[in-house]
Amino acid sequence: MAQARKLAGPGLSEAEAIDRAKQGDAESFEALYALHKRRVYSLCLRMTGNTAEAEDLTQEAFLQLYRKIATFRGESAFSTWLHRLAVNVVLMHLRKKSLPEVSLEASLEPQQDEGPKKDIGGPDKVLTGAIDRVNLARAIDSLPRGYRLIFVLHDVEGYEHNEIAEMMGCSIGNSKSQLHKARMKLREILKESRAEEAAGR
Amino acid sequence: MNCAEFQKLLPDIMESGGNAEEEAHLKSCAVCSALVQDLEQIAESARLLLPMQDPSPRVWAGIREALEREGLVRPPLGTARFRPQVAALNPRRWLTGGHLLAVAALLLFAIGILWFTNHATQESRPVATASVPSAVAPAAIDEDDARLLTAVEQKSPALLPTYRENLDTVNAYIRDAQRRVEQDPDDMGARDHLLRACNQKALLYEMAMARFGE
Repeated sequence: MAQARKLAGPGLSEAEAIDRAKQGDAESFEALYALHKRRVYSLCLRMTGNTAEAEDLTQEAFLQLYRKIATFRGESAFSTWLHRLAVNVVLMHLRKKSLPEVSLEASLEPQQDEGPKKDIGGPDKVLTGAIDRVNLARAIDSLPRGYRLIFVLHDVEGYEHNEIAEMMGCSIGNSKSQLHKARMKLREILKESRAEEAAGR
Repeated sequence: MNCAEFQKLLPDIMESGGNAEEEAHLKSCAVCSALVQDLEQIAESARLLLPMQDPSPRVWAGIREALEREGLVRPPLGTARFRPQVAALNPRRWLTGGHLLAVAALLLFAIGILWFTNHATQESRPVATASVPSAVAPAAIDEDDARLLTAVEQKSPALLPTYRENLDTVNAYIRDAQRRVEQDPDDMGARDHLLRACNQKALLYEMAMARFGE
């Protein structure tokens, strides 16, 4: 349980650090950062695919956390609260980057040539064997932005389609369809990379 | 039902399962069956991806500066300024004796792999498939894993499955990265993954030490 976690500070539990941070205690802020920075940064990096952007967004997420920490009442786990806050920071950032006249839903749709191909072919197209995690991480990075966001939120971070639809301002059906296309695209990328490896041997 | 019809419905089938007709097509069609298997495997593998990277120190420096500027923090008693908790975050506080050796062995293992592959690259270009000798293989690390799990089992049996799962996951990551480095010693990305994977495992040990101590 998050509240019982021990921090890397002087014997503080997470709950104690949160209480102290609400009073403006500097060391407790830093202890909370040390505990959660990796998860938040990894989330930002996977969602944006860009190191500099991910660092800026991590900074923004923690600043918002510290500005709002007094409103944290403990109804959900602190890590869940922070995680949701970080996702919203990233989505707001991406929304601002999109052209104002284009809706988020439309801006998430990749160009036609970026989308996955239909698979009504023969069994030679099958992705056989275990998936190498290094390859998978690279393939996720190379996904078009809209696909990457939905895939990371659903398959990596474990959000449900109704939560994603609410956060992203799209329909549940759109979330399901984008996730499916993302997985299809990943399959395509992984198959290509496996074929390249085999050819290079 | 044909493949096109089945695949059109696949997003919903993957979410909530198919009806009798869809199940029948899945059983009889090798192409659709392989497709579903691949998609399930991709989703399953994604769930095992770990948060692997730390942000650079400049992120915390920026946060600290903003907190001070906005007056959101009060400095600790007796200090004029918000100081980093280097001592509190120092793993030496928790690591002693054999545990320190285990963590050191992990990092040496990663460095050893990188040195060996680098060495092999320099001496035998363009051969990129040099295998790592068994002397560098992580046999000693497996013994450490077993010791760690025994300690967890003795002190907090409820946490044993979590630690075992985390170790399995990070070991699999190390193996994947190691294989990539062996295949292509010039692949800097794979080297980076290997170092980060070993760091992640070292962190797992540190967390165990912090929780259970000596």
